[in-house]
Amino acid sequence: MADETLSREALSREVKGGRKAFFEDPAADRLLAMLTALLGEHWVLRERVAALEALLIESGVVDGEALENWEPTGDAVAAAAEERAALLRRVLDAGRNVDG
Amino acid sequence: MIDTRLGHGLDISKSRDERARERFVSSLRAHVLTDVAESMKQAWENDVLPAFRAEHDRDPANAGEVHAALKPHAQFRFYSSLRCTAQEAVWNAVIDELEDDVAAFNRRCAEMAADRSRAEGTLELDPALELPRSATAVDVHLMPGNYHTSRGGDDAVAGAIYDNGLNVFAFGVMGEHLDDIGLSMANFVRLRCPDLQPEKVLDVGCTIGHNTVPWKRTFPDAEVHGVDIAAPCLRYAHARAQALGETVHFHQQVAEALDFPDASFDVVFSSMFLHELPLKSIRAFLAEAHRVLRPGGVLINMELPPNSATAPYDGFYLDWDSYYNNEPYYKGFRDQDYEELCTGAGFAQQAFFEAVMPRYGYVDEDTFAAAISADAAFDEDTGRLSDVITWYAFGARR
Repeated sequence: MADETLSREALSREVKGGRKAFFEDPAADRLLAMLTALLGEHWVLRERVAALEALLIESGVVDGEALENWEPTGDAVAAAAEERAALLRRVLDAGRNVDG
Repeated sequence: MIDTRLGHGLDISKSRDERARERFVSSLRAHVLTDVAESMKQAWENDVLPAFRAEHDRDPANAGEVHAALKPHAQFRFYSSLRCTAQEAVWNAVIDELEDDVAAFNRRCAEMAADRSRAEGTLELDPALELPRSATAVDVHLMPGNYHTSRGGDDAVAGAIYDNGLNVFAFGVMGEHLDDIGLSMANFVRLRCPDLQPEKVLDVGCTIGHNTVPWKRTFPDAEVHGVDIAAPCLRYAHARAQALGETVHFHQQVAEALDFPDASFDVVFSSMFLHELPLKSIRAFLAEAHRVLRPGGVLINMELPPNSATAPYDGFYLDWDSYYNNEPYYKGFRDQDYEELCTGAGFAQQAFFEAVMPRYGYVDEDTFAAAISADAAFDEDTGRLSDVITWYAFGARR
């Protein structure tokens, strides 16, 4: 779907009434949340890689060596940079509502 | 594998990564509620309880004492922090998906509601309704924006956040359409009250109507109504019921002052509702239930079991949500005598009942029927979300 057909609108992620911290330093709560989100992103990636590899093998389009040697070029470089930025936001903002 | 689709006409499109993220959060919750919860219980039994006994020369008397003794322990901190993280992750995963196209979702929801080819339900909103402060003071369940926040027009986003979030939250244990509570309660009434042929059923605090629709499915001839204060959830509930082809009527009203005539319903039902209300509101709602029920009608509240029926540790485990999941009235409710709540509202003492039952959608009819004919038997799985959960209910015949 092309982006211009979407009406993207930011929805709040703030929690009224807050979210409690449990460790002596709330930074630990925040780090645990980040670590958990990171684990989630790791899983997301594994699912995608598994799907990709299965399809590639099924269709016989590429072999393992071609996958191993691929590098992004042109528009794919900027697209990858944007995806990395979104990944960072998703992971590092995970502890945003921790009190303290 | 956990199904990321809701299986009705309001399904939103989810990318491969979004689906994978949902599955991760479901698995995370299942892990926290089983493995991490078990480690906390071990810490209690092997470490904290012996220390409590040594200090006080007795066992803890109640859930509050367990909470106070366990609170400084590293395992409590780890469980609690991770559970809050998983709770927030539920909503974040879903908000990411909805954000892609909010306006189109609301349009589709309105179209679905207007389509009367499958069902003829109605929606009655009251823009002038004053929402109780107790319902809006904090974002319940850490759900950003809470249930009532409307962004104007036909906004139903809060309903979509809740439906999709609940699907992640429930990790497959609450029924195909997240409706096993309603299904179990409706079939409980069907089997336990064979003399009752409900003509009118009322679900109070119905949110998105996921537990309202099963009453229509169980009693197809009945007129089924749902009440809530949250307009975006009601818009969603109406569209959802229409999409599922079930005629249900939704109204924006407060439970403490229902806008229905005396003796007009055969069943008044609520699920996971009373524990979100201050005691004054619980009493007012139960009095209203008594008023709108016909003689012979049934009040049935699916709820968390009372603290008096759970061991101190299990009570602490359930009450956790009261302190850390923005459900400030949860423990206050569980500390009540439910029979007294009913008699205080005008129901006769001998009309009071309570029941613990397996999930209707996960057992066969005979097993369910046998289970509900027995006296309520509480154990650590009662009201505790897992793949062996049993539902608890209490109520009274009018």
